[in-house]
Amino acid sequence: MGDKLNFAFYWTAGCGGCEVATLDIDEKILDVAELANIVLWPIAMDFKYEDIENMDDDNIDVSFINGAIRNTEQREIAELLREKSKVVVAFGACACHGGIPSLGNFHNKDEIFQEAYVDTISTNNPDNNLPTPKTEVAEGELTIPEFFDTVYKLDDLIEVEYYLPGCPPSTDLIIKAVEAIANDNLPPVGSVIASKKTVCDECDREKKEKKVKEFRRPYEVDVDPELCLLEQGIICCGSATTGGCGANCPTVNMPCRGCYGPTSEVADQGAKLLSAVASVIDSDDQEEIAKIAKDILDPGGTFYRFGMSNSLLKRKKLG
Amino acid sequence: MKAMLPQFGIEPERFMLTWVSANEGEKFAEVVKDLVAKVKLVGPLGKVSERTGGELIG
Repeated sequence: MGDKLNFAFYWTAGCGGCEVATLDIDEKILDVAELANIVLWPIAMDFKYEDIENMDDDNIDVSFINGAIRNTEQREIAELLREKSKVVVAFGACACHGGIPSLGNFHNKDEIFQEAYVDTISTNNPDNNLPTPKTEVAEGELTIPEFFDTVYKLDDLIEVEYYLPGCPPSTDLIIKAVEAIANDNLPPVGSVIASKKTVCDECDREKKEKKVKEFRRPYEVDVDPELCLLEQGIICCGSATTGGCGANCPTVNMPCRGCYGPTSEVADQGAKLLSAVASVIDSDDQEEIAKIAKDILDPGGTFYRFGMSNSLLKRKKLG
Repeated sequence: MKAMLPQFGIEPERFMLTWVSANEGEKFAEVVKDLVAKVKLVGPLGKVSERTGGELIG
């Protein structure tokens, strides 16, 4: 044990991609093992919540938490790790901004349960059984975590020192963060560990005048590998999205989907994207503009794909 | 915008886009009165805490 740091890795409402990204730092993971004892990492090692509960406060030097918060267990463990940790890092798009799970904020708990447990074609549930927090059985009462109507980002619940955005965060940024911890060279609290610039700034595609008569999905277009994707009518979120990823997606002909979240200058990423996309429509005719805008089938899901929990409106109005 | 606001549960009556020239003072007043009347009919939008069910955010 000695002078080693204590690290915890935890996942809440996420897909596991952040865990894979952690392992993607390849041999650097050995440096992490050299640097720190891992005290909790449910995907890789067997620890019990009780082990954490029995620790003194601030016993963990850094907790890396990935995933959004959408049920009582996730909230409980996030609060527990906060209590026991000196530093909490929101790891990945879901913890930073809500991520893909926060698209659930366009619905509520009842709608999600109905879709997941009743309406899906592959579901056979004739009695319409839905998850309930408490169930009485002969042996006693069974409990499962309670599901929320709303998906939250991590700092809606607990204080977070650093943000490592991305779906998943790039290995370069993970290494940068770990090195900063190892060298005790951490940026000011509240820092986002990414670029200060946008994805467009990191993208090598040729940018000319943006005039779009038609929006198309990537599969509908024979993509020009040199030209700006937005200029080709493909909705690319690079202009309102924090860089740091090296513009990986546009480099391989896929539009930016906005996973690094808004830049520090932007309050609401989706509104900014909507404004950016609306400004490239090449028409002065109301009807034609409406027709072109109709090409965007799901504007909410497109512009807030990774950030509903971080948006000004947070969710679809309840009730 | 028109397509996106309903996705957030925001009534279409709350949003209007129109053009009024600087010398059309009377038209401007009409447009604003019209919108205010429509929004009053729909009522308050509700706070963010109400929007999220008040589970966690105060």
